[in-house]
Amino acid sequence: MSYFYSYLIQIDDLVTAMEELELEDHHKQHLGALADSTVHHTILDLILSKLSPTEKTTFVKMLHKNPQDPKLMEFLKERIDGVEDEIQKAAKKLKSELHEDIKEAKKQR
Amino acid sequence: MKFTSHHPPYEYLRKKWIARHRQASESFLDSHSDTIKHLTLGGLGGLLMLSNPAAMASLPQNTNGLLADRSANRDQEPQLRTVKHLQESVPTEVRKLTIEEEKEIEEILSQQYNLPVKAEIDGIKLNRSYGLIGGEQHLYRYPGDTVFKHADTTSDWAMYGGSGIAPGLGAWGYFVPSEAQFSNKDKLRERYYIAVQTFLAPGFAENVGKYRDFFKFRKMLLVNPKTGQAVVTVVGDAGPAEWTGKHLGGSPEVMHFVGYAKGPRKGPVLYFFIDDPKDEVPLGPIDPAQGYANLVKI
Repeated sequence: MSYFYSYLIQIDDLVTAMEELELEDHHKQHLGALADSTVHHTILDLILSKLSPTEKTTFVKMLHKNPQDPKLMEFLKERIDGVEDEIQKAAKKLKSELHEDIKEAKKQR
Repeated sequence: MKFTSHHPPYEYLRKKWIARHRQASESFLDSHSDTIKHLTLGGLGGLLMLSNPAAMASLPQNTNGLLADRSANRDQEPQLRTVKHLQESVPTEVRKLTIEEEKEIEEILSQQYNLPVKAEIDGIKLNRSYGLIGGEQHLYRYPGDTVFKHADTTSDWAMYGGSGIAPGLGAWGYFVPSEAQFSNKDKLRERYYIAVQTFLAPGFAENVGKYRDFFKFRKMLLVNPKTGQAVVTVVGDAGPAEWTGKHLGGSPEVMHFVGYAKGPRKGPVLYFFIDDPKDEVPLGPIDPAQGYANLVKI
C-alpha cells in the first residue's frame, strides 16, 4: 500500500537495517505494518494541523476515495507552503528514531 | 510462568513500536477528533478505524483502515457473477483452450471487467491463454537497483521483499538505463509484470524482432478463474522454460493480487491481451464491479 506522499519517503535504508535482524515473515509484516501506520499517522497529523476545518474535510474525503491520488499533493501544495519539505522533515525525524530502535533491538540478541 | 521470547530483538521492537504507534495515533485523535467524528458520521468509518489506538495495539496484518473499510463494504456480487460465468466456460483441466472456448472467455472477460480483452492482436497470439502461473522474483529496474528499493513502505518490503530479486535481467534488459530516468510508470511495470512464453508463440521463430517489439510491456489481463481476482499486468519477461511445467510467471505483487502468494505459489489463470493503443488502462488489481475507470488502488 502506498500513499500520495510515498515518493517523498525513502525507506530502503530502514528495511535494509530491519533485514539484518533476520526476522520471520510474520514478524516482518507485523513490524512493517506498525512502522507504516506510525508514519501515516504522523504525516496525516502534520497535514491536518495546517488545514482549515473545511479544507480538512475535503482532504480526508479525497484521501478516503483514493489514498494514492496525485491530486492530493496538488491540493496540499496550493494550501501549505513547502508541504513536501515538511513531510520529508517529519518522516526523516521519525525514521531516525526508528533506526535508533533497530540499533537497540540488535543489542538484545 | 516467565515468558521467554524466541526472538528478543523482535520482542523489543514490537513493544517499542506499539508504544510509538499508540503515541502517534493518540496525538492524531487528540488534534483532529472533530474532523474525524464529523466524517465518521458521514460514513467514513475507515478513518476512525485507522486512528483507533486500541485496535492498532493488537495490530491486524493490514493496518490500513481505509483499505480495510473499502474491502468490507465492497460489493462481492459482481465478482461472484464473474466466477459463475467463468466456471461455466473454463475447463476444469488446465489445458489449451479451443478457439471457440477462447472466443467465449474473451467475451466474458471483456464484459465483466469492462476492458477490450483479446486473445489475438495484429495476428499475434501466445501459445495458450489458460495455464499454470508460478511465482517469479523481482527484476532489476535500472543499474544499481536493489530489492529494498522496490518497497514504497515497510509493509511492501515485508510482503514482497522475501521473494528476492532475479540474478539476471528480464528479457528486455533494464526497465530504464539509469535511476535518474526511472519513473512511476516503470515502477508499476515491474510491480505488475508477468513472464510469458513468447518464444512458443506461433510464428515467433520467423519474426523474432517483430514479436519482441510486440510483446515488450504488452498489457495483459490476468484472471484467477476460481475467484475472479484479476490484475492488469505487462509482459516484463519471457519464460518460464517448458520443462518447468508452468506456462507463465508473475511478480510477487501479481501473485498476491491473483490469490497465489501463499502455499505452492502456483495455480491456473486466464491471460489475455488488453487492446490499449492509447495506453489508457492503468496497471494493478482490478475489480470486475468497476472496470478500468475505477481500478482498485493498492
